[in-house]
Amino acid sequence: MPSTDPSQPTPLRLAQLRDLLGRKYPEAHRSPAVRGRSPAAARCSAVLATENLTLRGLEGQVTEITGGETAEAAPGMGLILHHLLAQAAAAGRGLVLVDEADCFDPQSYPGALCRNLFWARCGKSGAGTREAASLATALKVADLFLRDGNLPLVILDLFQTPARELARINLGVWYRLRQRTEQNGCGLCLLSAHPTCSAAHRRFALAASFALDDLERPRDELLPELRLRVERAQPRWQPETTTAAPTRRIA
Amino acid sequence: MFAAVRIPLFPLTAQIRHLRDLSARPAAVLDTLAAAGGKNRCRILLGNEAAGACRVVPGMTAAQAQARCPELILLPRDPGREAAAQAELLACAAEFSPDFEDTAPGVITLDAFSLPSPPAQIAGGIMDCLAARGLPVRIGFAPHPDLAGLVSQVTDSVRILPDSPGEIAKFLQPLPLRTLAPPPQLLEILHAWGLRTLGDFTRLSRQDIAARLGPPGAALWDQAAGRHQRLLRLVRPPQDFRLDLDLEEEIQTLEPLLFVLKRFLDTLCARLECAYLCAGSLKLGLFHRQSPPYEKVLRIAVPCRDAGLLFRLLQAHLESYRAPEPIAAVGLELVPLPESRQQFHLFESSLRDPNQFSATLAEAEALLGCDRAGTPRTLSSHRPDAFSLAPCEEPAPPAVALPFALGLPLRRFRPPPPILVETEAGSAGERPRAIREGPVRGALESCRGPWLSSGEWWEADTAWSHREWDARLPDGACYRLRQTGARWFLEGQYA
Repeated sequence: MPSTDPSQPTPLRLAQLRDLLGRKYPEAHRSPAVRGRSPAAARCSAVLATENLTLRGLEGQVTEITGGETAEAAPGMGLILHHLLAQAAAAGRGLVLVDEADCFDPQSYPGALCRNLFWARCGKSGAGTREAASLATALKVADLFLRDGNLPLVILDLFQTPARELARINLGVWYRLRQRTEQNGCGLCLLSAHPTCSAAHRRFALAASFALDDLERPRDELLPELRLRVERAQPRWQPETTTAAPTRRIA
Repeated sequence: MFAAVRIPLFPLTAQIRHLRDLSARPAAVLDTLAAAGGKNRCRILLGNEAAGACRVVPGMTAAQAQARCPELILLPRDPGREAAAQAELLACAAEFSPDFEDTAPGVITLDAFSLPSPPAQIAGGIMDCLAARGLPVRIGFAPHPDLAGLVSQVTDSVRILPDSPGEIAKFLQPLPLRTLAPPPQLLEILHAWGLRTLGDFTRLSRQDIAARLGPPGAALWDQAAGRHQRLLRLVRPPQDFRLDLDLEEEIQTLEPLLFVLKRFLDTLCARLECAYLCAGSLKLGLFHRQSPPYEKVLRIAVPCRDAGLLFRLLQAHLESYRAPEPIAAVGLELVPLPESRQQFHLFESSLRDPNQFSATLAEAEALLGCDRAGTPRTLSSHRPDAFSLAPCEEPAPPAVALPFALGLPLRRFRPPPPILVETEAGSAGERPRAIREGPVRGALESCRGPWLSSGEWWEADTAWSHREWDARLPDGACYRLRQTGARWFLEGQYA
């Protein structure tokens, strides 16, 4: 049972209470959308839940998902985003996508998944002066929503940001964002090509390979083919989730 | 103790205070309002002491009055001046007590129970206040409101009636019946019975009066006996939740404007709190010397009266505003709404603080620009990258069934970079073989297409026609290539 230390901030205690109730009464807490899903979808949710990549599992910590060995290609990042959007839609929660490169494509996602999404376009399609400042703006917007604490998850997409720009980010920025997540109980999910955030609680390296024929397959069938390698695990709320397996096939 | 403040000969006093050297001369007011609607001739409504000395009495026609007093000055009633005098009377009352009643034209009644000063001091203050405005008054203090009105009617200046049954009876008994202004028919009956004073009237049994004259007679008896008690119909100032300020020095920077708005918000929120109301929206007006005014309505997610939160909302909005010229006047209005409370279900998880979220959204929009933040909505078009951004609202309820989707989502490059593609002849025409120039290069491992799309061919300016290809490079990355005419673009990457 999670501790209910009165000295903890209220959002943290509320999140702990929800977590406890969710485990004690899983059927009541599960939304109708999740109950009625197909076996493939359920299997997909199950395997991602193993890594605690659920909306609730991401709360209160910084999780970084990198491209792994195929950093530039990194197929599967969009599937992770689809999975998080589906989680939010099923739970009736909101999400923030801070899109540093302005590369999110609403036409690739069903409209029902985007209803609860706040899309912050920090990217490069504006004037030339905006381009250089887009990373700083993205960090500011992420900090703004983490400080706000109303939405459970902020996704910061830095996948297309050049590595040299990411290397210039002050370490204090990442620790400040980490502190925000711990204070407010929100989650920060960072999508990047290379390991970037030194303050991340958890870091996964994504590995997957898809052929052109897979573009015709249902997305629920593609999700289980993602492989996540745990590179760092400092769980905040559920210490039992870290096991030693360096590479885990999640299908 | 209640205090009744009465302006004697109110319709006349309201006018002659504006006319010099008229108080000593005979003057009377014609009841033009009563005569205006019908065929009645104008009659004297009331006159001053000098007119009374000339035997000019109410009810006379103007000709009769002037026949008796050729120097008589006849004034028509002036509702505007009467209303102004009444407003000054009420304003004066508000300076002394928060609880007062607008009893009748020229008469107000104050609740003096809660006032710390003695009645004589209150009376002196009120008389000084109104004398400065040219309004002489008579003030009566009594334990009941109506009794105070009677005292003010018969006194010449100030009179305090002690809260003693004997003193009250001693005061009331010699007063004529018409002092209570009973209905004319009732007064006629009482005169026919030989009753002239309140003492004569109260010597009769209340039960007998009620049996013969009904409830009006019983009510009159209670008033005559000084037993009639009632609550004051208190005057409350109109609720105004707008503040405006004309600036002597025009504002050119944000800080002084925020300073003014913060002061406005503190005042307006205090007013809302007094009225048990909340602000539903903010109406901000910035006025310039020449340019048209800037007016903006800011919606508040959940009605509140937290000045700090409303200020953050304004600040976030103004940080992205650029005025065409310095600001000459500022106006702020809070649209009041009743306070609402909502209790969520245990498993319902809405926003923790909708107002804070609203302020955060405003800050994000100020940071990014209004057109670059919001909830994406796809448009009913096959044109690539056709979407719009809607304002972010509270999260939608949980979805009953999740939608079906195919393939990998696309990471779109905006704007799509041009690429140089090497093509080869295929069964359906040319097909790409390698990307020679662009952000990515290399021979294509596999390629599918073309997918043809076009639209709006009926509009010359917006017509579009594309050939799209899905291609996979040896490193495993899948891309969408777009051919528009002879040019190739890298549309996005499947991820």
